[in-house]
Amino acid sequence: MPLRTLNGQLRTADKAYDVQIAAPMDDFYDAVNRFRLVLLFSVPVLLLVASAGGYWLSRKAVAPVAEIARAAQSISEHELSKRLPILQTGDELQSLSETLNEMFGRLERAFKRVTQFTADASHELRTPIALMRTRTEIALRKQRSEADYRETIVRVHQELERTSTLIENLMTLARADSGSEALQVASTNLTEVLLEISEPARLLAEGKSIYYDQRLPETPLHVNGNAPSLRRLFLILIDNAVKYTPREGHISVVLDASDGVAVTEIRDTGVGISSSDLPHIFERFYRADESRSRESGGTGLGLSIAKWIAEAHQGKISVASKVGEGSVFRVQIPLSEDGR
Amino acid sequence: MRPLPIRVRLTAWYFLVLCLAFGAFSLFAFFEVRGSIHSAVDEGLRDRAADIQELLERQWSPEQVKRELAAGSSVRGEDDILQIAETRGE
Repeated sequence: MPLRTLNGQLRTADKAYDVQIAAPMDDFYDAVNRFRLVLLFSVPVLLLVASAGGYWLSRKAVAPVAEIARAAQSISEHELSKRLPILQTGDELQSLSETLNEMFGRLERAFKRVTQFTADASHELRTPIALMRTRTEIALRKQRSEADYRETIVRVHQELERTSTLIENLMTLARADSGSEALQVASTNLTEVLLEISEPARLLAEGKSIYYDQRLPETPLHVNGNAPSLRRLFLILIDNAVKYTPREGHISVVLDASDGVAVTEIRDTGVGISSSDLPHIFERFYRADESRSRESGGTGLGLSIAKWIAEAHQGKISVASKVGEGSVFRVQIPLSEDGR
Repeated sequence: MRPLPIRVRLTAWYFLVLCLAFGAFSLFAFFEVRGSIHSAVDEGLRDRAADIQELLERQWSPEQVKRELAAGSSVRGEDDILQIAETRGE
């Protein structure tokens, strides 16, 4: 029989006693053992029940993920307009569906842009090639004079030059899209850039008997920029102005600075752009007037490239125009620290 | 090797955490119950010793004390085993 004992010495006034008291523990230990058995059997059962419940709950919690995966699998490159169902749970899964839908939206826009770009590029390349083929076929149809052959070769050469420019522009934009056309920027004096292009700009304008003038500040205006790209940007805008300004017209380039931004304005007294065309003129291959554009030799990519260059300099490009009165292209590029 | 599905992994973690929690709770409960029983028994034994002291101070002999306690008239712990001997050499 298990005992629990207390040993001690008790003292009275005149004597001392050794006392040993013991209490039998069998009943208590029986109770403790029963408790231990209850724990040993009930805890595993509870664990199993709780785990099964946990598995069931986790299945419920993860089920929307499977639904999202199924819906995402059904979205192919031909059905990019489809979207995932938004689970109104207010938790991470709703956020995941919304984020994936935003990503699909971006993919759809990029896909459409690429498809449109490919279609436009094919169309633009087909036209000069068709022209060259027709010219050469006509020339070869019968024996012609040297002057006729020369005329054909000159025309074919013009088309080749135009096609070459188009391909170069396409490559520039393709590289810009892929992000591989990162500009090497350095502190660049914008006044100097405009002075450098004044000579070719003047030649372009004089070729069409257009009056050209520049108003540049006395002091240098420095921006963080890539000088060749900036030259290209301004030449595109001036070339565009020359193309759409009639003889005896006027083109002026004005550079100024305000609020830490260098503002360059290219003003012309050209044909102007209608208000319906204004929002689209920086789009690739957009032309307000197809026939006029072909006559002028444009590729429809110049303004897109100009916009890309301005944005690559953390700047922006805008246009204000009135039909019959002319246009003003405004390029705003932030001044660098030493340019303020 | 293909990783286990999230559902299975979640359940496994849940099971592990529950095992630890239940295991810790069971050990704590078992030792706490056993400790409480020991404390209660010890307290009873101390009370019994106090009763014996009181009777001895009334000049009762150890045999009288044992009989009194065995009769269970005025003291607790009737089943207790008691030995009282006068300390030798005093």
